[in-house]
Amino acid sequence: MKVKASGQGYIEHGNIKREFKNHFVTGGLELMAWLFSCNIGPGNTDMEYWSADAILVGADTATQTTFSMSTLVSPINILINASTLYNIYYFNGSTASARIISIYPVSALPSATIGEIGFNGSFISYAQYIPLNLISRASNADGDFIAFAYNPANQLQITWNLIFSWV
Amino acid sequence: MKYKDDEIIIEGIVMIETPYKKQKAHNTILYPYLNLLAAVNSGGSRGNLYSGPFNQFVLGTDTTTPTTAMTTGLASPLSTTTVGPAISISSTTSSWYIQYNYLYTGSFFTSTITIGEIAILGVNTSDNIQGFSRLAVADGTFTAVSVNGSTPLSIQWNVYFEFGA
Repeated sequence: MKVKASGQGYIEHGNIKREFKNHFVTGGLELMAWLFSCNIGPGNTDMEYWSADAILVGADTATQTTFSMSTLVSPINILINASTLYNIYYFNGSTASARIISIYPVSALPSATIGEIGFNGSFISYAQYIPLNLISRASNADGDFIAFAYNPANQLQITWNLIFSWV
Repeated sequence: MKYKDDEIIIEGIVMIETPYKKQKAHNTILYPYLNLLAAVNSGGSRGNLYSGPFNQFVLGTDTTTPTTAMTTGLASPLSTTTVGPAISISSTTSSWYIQYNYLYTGSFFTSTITIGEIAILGVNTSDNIQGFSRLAVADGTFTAVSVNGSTPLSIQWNVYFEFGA
């Protein structure tokens, strides 16, 4: 049997609710392949990894996702500690899921239009630090969700589910 | 061809060849790899990515135990010292797919053995070695292969990671 990876989630900001599905980029493909092979990763050496995640937001509303994207087009705030992350992973017998919830508190971001969001991951190893790379993206331009105005008076919560299932 | 970027498909295709028979089969990706994907992508996971002998084939003799959602390896694995040197691995990469080519070839057996299952091993977040992918006669994916010291065995296992077509 094959395995299919997909991603979806939802955005909550005041009265605004948006559901979205994501688009993977090459960084996501590489991460999955690297984890499988154990030893064909960057540097090709024994490495300890520590995975780190972040859900970042951006202002672009016009640029569709391409395979080669490694960052958001117009990131609003690239500090990974600007939001609080909650995460969990589980396996239910047929599907393994990773759920990441990112909460930007009140006034964490400047007033802006949010038109793109990105799920980012990274590895830290003995040999090298592999910087935070885009794994998948959802955007207004791809039709994944409708862009909205960020109001600093409200917190922003983004829930992202990555799902790995047999097909 | 237009690739769908809303999903990534991971699959393995295996060619098993002896002088008498050539078979092509599709593997089953195992639970430990799915769990690793979820654990790492949810962040905060720590573990080791080893090189060397940990990412390799293991051969087994079982012909009756199907692969299930909780299978983590082979039912009756042969010891790695029985089956010879580690496999060779190469990769091919483009912007929309990555292909690993695992190749095992040789005549390492001192007695006649029936091969009924094969797995690729990997390392999980607890540094335990587990099966990431299995091919089993019990799943109906290939026919058991009988080998001995004079029967060369070649296994080419291609694992594809690609955007959905």
